[in-house]
Amino acid sequence: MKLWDAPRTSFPYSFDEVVSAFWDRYPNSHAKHILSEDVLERQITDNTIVTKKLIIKQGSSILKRVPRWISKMTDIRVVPVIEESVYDRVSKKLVTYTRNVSHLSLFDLHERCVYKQSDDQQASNPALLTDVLRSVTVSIDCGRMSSVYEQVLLMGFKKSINNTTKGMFEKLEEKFGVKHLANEKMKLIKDKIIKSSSNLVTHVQCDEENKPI
Amino acid sequence: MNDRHMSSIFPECDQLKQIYDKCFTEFFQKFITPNYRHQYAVNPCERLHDVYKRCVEERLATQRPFEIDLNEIRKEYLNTDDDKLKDRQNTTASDAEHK
Repeated sequence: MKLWDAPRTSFPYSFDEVVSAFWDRYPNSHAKHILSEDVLERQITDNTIVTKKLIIKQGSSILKRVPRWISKMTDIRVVPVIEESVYDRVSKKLVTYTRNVSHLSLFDLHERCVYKQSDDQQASNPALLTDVLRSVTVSIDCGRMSSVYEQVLLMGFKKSINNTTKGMFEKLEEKFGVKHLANEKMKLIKDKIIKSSSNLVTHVQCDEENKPI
Repeated sequence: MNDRHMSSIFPECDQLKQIYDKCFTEFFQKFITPNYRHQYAVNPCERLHDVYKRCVEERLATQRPFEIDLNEIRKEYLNTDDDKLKDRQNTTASDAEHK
């Protein structure tokens, strides 16, 4: 079994904006491998929304590169997954848990994500930054090559995160407009410079801010 | 506003899905406003969801597409003992558990 934590991702959008985009993130141009999405369960309470979705994905293309005669793993083309999520508007957290629901005798891949308002001490306005923590665990039971396949699957998963993030950005920009993370970072740098010394120039101009979008 | 949408696993359920999704999207925007009160503990989209859900579940049971394990679908993992990653991600003592 292998475990992996992705480095934290931050979206320069509020928590509610990110969650709104999350519900509608499919389809997007970075998610061509998603075949269908269905809400199987949804329970709404005063402060929470509990959801269960069935999502059908086309399998990791990396597996296709493994010679066919070695393992049945390469026959897997379509992977249905269940995504459970709990949205809490009081604690301002969205937690998701995604796992495959076919070929369980061969492998299981579980991914857990936590979306929350940024607790980055340095952010100039934490309410406009949302962090995503992502962890994954993979277990393969398919003969003596299992550990190798786990590594391969994990590699494929890590690569897919780029597309996941791009897809979220695409949806966020579609719904709420383009925001430049660079501007957030420039602001942090600006704030640091301004705070660090009163002898320095107090107004720092940032060329990035004046560039057309 | 683009009209791309993600399809349902069963084309016959697609229209019901789109209607439900639209309802939920509008509902969610209200839900997140500070002065929203969940009145009468009623989910305004519940009826739409019931119809849509039944369409999908009936076909899942009869068609068994993609070798989906129906028992596995019924299970709940998030924040349960089967949640393989909650301890790893829970750095604070209290984490929302609303099951």
